[in-house]
Amino acid sequence: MSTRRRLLPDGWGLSLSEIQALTGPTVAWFGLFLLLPLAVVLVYSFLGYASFSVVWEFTLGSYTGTVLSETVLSTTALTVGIGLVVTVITLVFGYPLAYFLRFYMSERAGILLLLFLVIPFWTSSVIRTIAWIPILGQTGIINKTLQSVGVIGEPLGWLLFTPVSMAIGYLQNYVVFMAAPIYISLSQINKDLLDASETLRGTPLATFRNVTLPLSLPGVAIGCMFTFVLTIGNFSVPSFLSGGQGTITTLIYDSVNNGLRYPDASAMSIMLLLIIFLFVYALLRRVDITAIAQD
Amino acid sequence: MAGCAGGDDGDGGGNGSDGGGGGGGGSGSDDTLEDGARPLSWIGPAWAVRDRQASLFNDVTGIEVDITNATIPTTQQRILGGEAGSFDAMSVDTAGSGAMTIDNDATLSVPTDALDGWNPDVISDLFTNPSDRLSQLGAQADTILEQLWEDEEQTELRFPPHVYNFDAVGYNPEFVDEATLWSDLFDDQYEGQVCMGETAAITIPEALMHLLDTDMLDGEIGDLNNPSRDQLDAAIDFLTEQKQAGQFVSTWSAYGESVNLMASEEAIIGDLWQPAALDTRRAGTPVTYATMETGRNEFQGYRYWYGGITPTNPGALDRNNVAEVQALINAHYGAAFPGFIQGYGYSVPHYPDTDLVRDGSDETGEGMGPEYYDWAYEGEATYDPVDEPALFDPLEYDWASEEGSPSSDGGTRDSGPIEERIDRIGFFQIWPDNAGYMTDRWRDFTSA
Repeated sequence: MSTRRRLLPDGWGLSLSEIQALTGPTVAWFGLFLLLPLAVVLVYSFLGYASFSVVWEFTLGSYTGTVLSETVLSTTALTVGIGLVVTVITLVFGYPLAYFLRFYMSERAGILLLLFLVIPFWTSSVIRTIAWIPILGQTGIINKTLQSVGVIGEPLGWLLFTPVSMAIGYLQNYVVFMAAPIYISLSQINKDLLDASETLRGTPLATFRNVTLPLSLPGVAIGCMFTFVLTIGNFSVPSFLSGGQGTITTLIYDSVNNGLRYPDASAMSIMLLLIIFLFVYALLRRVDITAIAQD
Repeated sequence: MAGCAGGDDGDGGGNGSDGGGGGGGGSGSDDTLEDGARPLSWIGPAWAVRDRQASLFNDVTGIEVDITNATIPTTQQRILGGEAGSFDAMSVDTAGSGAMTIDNDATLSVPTDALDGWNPDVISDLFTNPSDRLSQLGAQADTILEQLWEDEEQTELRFPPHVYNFDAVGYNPEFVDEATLWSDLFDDQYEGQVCMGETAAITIPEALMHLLDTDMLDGEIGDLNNPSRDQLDAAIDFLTEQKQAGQFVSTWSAYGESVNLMASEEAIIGDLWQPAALDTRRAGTPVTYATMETGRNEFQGYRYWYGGITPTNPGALDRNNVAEVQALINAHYGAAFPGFIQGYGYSVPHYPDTDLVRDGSDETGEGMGPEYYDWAYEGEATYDPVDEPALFDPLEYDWASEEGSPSSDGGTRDSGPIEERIDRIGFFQIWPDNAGYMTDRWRDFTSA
């Protein structure tokens, strides 16, 4: 079978040159703005460093001395842990949200409400993150309200600069990235299948377990991918809501911010990239996300 | 990306005396104010490079200035990463300058002859004779000379100063009675209410001052701004323990974070910059900027740093703007700039020139006037009463231009008269020789 036949559905009569012309801009875009910068980062990760300058000598120092150091490894483990926990929390909130919008709202209302979740993204992520401080802080809205109605005497200190505030920050930022693909998956479920399950006396729970959930897994996988990748690469939440808890992104930032240590920052970025690749690969081994693009 | 050097590998400190390059040599070109590329291009942090400074220079010379505000690391990144040819002037502080003025050949020194305003007789001896004026600092005073001067004869400035300050502890007087030492940041009674900067080169010496002064660590005051690996280990381990024990409500890296933390009263004490203390007041939260003491063993005191302006190499040369940058620097030694920058808490090198700075005027504008100058530099009270000293904003106060009498209920400047502040300097900010080791180890603190 020719490459063209393998790549295109039956009945698509495109010539090879037409395919090249159509895919060329995309390939060029990825090459120029993804592969080339990554190649630069990769090269820099193998270079030396001396006093604010990169030294053009091949060395594994940034990997052996920095990436494999106990501090960076433990911080990486923590970052991955945060990513997984946030993904699960976001899934727990995002799936019911998508389910409600799909099955309890009209199609138009569902899409409209989903779009409402995007409205906060009209502002920068830094502002969205910092905005939690006057809400969760000791003199913030929640504490002041609870104090004024006599529910608490002293402000709740665990609301801000704790894992609670980090979870809230991540959830607010990423629930839409989880809910949207799940909503799309749920929207593509043939209603006849649900009716068939009901006709066969399947309980709502059985229908969900045996029909709805399996068919929505591509959306869940894409949502998990978005959420995990964005979480472990997030900088604003650990910077502004953690109270100083470092993640791998803050270590990368510090490497540049304290002495322009590009090789170290590059090596840690490559490591982060590999972790993301591994996560996505493992996910794709279990779920066929191309199903979301099929009728 | 970063500038690429062909030198040997190693962790290379920022201000090591063996740093090569050396400021690019003198800038004795035939450049004049008429023939350079326009507009003049100036990069630096927002606290050092402000629109008002550009307009002040424009008023005098008619030359437009294009300002690019960038953090110190970004300024370093752009100057050392190949953009030194795109900018005529660069500003940073003494923690960031050595990378460009000493370790790399990215700037030009400035002959004092080219600066009409640089008259050694009226420039503070902080700059002309730091070894004597700051004798309490021991070997640290030598690092001031190294940052500042290209030669022992003091004919060429490596990094000409335009602003400086003596950083201290800031605290909310509604919750903290008094703070006078860096040790107060580690006081158990403020557990969970301290905001702590997370810039290694700043936070580590603050901890070192505490450790040395309380006999928790051996060392000399002369080592403070260039600590050994053992001293770095001790300070970072201590700070990490403090962080893990919950002493800090949050660390801060961006200026605005420190303001937010204090203004929201999440933090009641912290290592603040003075403009951050003033901005916190402007947000309605009282802050007192401490009058620092030198501690039990004379190891503590203010953290002194200065910011400067220097022509870039080759930018200023290639664009024929060396003379223009020198004129820009010179404009800051005029009458108008001291009053403007004092509104943010900063002082100027030529404050001893009372005829100009206090009572005079020149082509840049009027001097500070007697009330403002005496308040800023002499420790005198304002002529009018001030109800809430911890909310006082020098930018909002209506300063008298005529001589008057300080009010018994008037407000005085935080930290006291400048000579007393100078007497109590405990530390001069540089980028240390063991910076590579320091930033490696600093990850322990960041990730704790």
